[in-house]
Amino acid sequence: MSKTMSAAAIQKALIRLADPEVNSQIYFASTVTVAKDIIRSLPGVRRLRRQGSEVAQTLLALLPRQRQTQENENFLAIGLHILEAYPSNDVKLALARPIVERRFRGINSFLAAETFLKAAGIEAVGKDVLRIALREAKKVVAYNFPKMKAQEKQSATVGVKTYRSKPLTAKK
Amino acid sequence: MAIFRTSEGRSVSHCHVRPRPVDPCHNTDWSQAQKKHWRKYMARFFPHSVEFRPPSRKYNCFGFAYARAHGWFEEPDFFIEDDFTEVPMDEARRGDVLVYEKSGEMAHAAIVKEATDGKIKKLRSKWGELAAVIHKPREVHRAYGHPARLLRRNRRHAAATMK
Repeated sequence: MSKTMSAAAIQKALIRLADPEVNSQIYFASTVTVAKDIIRSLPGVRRLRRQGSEVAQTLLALLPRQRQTQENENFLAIGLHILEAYPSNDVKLALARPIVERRFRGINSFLAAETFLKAAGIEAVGKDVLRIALREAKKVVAYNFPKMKAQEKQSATVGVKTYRSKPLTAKK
Repeated sequence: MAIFRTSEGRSVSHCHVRPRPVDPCHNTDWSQAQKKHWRKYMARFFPHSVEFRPPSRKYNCFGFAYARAHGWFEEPDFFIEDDFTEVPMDEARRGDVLVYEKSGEMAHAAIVKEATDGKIKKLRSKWGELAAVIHKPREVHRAYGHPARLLRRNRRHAAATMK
C-alpha cells in the first residue's frame, strides 16, 4: 500500500504535471478516452487520484480560477481528471460557474462536464454529457450564485447554438 | 455541431476551429511558431515518422481518415457502418483505413499508403492535435493501442467522392 502524500509532495507532483515537457503528450489524443488514457499514464496521476481530499482541496484552490490558455490547458485537463476521482459538493460548486461561462475548450469541456456530473450524482453518456452538464450547471449557478453579473450571463451563451433565424418582434 | 453526411445520408457530428467554437473544438489553431515547436516535439518521440501536413487543431485522425480532414470528429461509427466494409487484415490495399483499438475502444485511424502482398508497410494518419505523418503500423503513440480492423471504402461512396 502506498504512503499518504504530504502537502509538499502533492504540490511537487502537481508542479511536475504542470510542466509542458510532461503534459504535452495529451496533444496526441484525438478523443477524450485517449486523452484520459494518456493523462493516467503521466507520472503521479494515478497516485493523486487515490490520495484523498487534500488533493481535491489543492486543485479546487487552483483550477476554477484559471482561464484556459494554450499554456495551461493540459494542466487543467490533468486537474479535471484527478478531481473526477473526488466527487463532492465542493467540486460541483467549483465547476458549475466555469462550465456555464464556457471557460473550458477542447477535451477540457468534456472532462469538466464529466467531473461536474459525477460530483452532482448525475449519470450521462456520450454526446449528452456536455448538454446535460451545461443544463445542470446553470441550475446550480442560478441557485447558488444568484448575483451573477449580467455580463457573465451573456458570455454563457457563447458557443451555444440557437436556430432562431428571425427576430421575435412581429412586424406591424 | 455542424452536419457532415455519410453515403447513407446520416449526419455525423463534428466541429471546427473558429472564434466561437462548438465543443470540443478550440477557438484558434496553432501559430507558426507553435507548429515549429510541435514538429520538433514529435520528432523527438517518433524520429522515423515523416510529416506531410503541419500540426493542426482543425481536424483529428477520424476527420482525416473518414472525412478528408473536414473537421474534428469524435464518433466515426456512422462512417464505418455506411461508407466502409471490413476486409481481412492480410488483404490490405492503398486507401484502406486501419482502425486502432485500445481496451476495445477505437483510439485511432490511419489510411494505408503502401501495402505489399496485402501487408501494410506504411500509413498516413493525423496524430491528435499534432501533425499528420507517414509511419509504420506499429510506430504510433502507445495510447492508440493496436491495429484491430481494416476497412475498405464502399465503391458507391468512392464514386460519389470522386465526382
